[in-house]
Amino acid sequence: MSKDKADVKIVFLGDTFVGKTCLIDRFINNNYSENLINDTAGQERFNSMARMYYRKAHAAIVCYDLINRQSFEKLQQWIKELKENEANCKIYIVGTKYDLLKNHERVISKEEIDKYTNSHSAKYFETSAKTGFGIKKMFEVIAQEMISLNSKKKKNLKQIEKDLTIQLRNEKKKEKSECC
Amino acid sequence: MDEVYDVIVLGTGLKECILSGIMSVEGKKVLHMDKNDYYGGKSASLNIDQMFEHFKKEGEGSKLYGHNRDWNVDLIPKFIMSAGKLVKALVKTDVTKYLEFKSVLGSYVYKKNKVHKVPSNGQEALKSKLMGMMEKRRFKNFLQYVQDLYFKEKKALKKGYDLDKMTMKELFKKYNLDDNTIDFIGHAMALHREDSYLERPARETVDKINLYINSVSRYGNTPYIYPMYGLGELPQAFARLSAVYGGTYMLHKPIEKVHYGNEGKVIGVESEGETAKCKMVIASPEYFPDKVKVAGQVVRCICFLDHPIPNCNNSESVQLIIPQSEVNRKHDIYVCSISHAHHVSKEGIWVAIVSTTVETENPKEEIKPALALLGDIKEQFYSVDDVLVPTNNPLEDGVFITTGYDATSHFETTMEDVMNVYKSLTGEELQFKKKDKEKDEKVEED
Repeated sequence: MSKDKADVKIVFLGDTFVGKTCLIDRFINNNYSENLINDTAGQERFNSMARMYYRKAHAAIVCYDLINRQSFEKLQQWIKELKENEANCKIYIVGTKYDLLKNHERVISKEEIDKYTNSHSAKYFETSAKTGFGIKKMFEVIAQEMISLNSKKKKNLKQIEKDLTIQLRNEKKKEKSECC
Repeated sequence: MDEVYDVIVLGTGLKECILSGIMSVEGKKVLHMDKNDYYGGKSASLNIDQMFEHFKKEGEGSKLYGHNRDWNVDLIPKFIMSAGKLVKALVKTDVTKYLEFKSVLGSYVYKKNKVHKVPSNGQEALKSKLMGMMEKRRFKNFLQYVQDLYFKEKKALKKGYDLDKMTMKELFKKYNLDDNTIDFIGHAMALHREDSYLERPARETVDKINLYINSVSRYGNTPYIYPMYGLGELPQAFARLSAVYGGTYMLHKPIEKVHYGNEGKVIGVESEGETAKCKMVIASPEYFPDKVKVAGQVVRCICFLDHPIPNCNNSESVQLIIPQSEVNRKHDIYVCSISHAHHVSKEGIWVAIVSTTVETENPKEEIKPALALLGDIKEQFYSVDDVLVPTNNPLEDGVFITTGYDATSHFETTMEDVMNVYKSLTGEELQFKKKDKEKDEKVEED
């Protein structure tokens, strides 16, 4: 990764069909590299998300559907799991499908969600992938925080050496033609 | 799940996950289920509470040994050969981007009642106390021959050795190597677990020695690498590949019934009252007890130590081989040790896993010589597992069963089984395809 890019891992979590992929698509089609952002690939659908997915994530964008109570319960489970396993991961809570509030009631009141997000010192956003509402602002805030997080991450040499791991690459081009 | 799939995969062990990933990449519609609520089956890495539960130990693991998040203990110990088949598969499928590795720092062998470092190159061999002066020269000549063979096969032919005809024993004889050195080469470098290879054509063993030498040259010290957070990361990473390519994942699904058509071919799998239809099933052996047999047993003992394995240079990760000849056995005993450096245990605890093929009625007794080399042991998790192999004809019933994990210390036989299953499934040799960049990480969801 080049110097002026932040080296961070951001994951999306949330109940199926809250619109995580739409959010990512909407955002990526407009700008930014998709390599940093990890989608669930549908593995959450039948409660089959691997822990590897959010391992060492710097930020988790945990989504719920503004008009679906069950998705908010799922969000609370995700946040509990994150706190248990990745204590240093920054959490962003996102209410999706804002456009539907035109014709539907919100299932979690403003006060309730504020109280919840404050108790987890998380930032809160409301978005609509359909209209694009709130998405740019959300990613800008997250990107800003990730950049400042990255610049704070000064490690001493010893720590860097300890953390050094091997990334496997195709080392010899010549080998390519031969199969395993 | 009441849908039609090309393949239903049962069990999320490494072999099943690799096959599932390949099938999804090839455009097959895959449903992948596991009866457990975690990934990996037998090739999972467990946290400390899961460990205590799995081995039916008294007490609560996390109360005794700290946070679950710090623990990833393998049920089946193995290391990855840096130049081996699994690494090729990881690189070619691009699954490697989900994983991080560190090399294994020490490779040791028990000889004449002492632990010795396995020399990783000719220089080290000359310094080693394993052999006498004259023997070291012969050993070096032999290694030179094997390496030359790899780079310039013709030169070897000039010497007149036909490796497909002559046995390994005969080849050793040409270099006048003594029994001690032969034992060392065969077991600590070629990683044979018993001595039948001596009577087989030399090619097999020469290839294995070469794999060892090539692997050592990749990341130094030893031929092995090991993933951060345990081997359980491997099946998860291949499962992710499968999911990214549209594979559907369901954990914690009891498999109640497998349905067969009139001609005896599999047509569906039933779980929790629903039936998913399919043309074929890939499964780990536990899912088909009536289509497998016991081919042998492996005894394993997972030990917690509050120190590195003694006499191994305080290494944070180690392989120690006890050749059969040293302890009057037919099969070698392996010890794999890893620690907090690979994030498998909490700081201050080393995990050492002893394993070997069962030869007697009393397997506990068989591993005692290895346990004796570990120093004070804080906790032991002991198991004897059957190695199950399929007995059915998959071309008749459409059920392709992988074999259970053997006692080898690396993944070469694991990958050979994956390639065999793939071949019987498709009639073609397995070629790992590079991921298509366009599709990278993007999935249809809503």
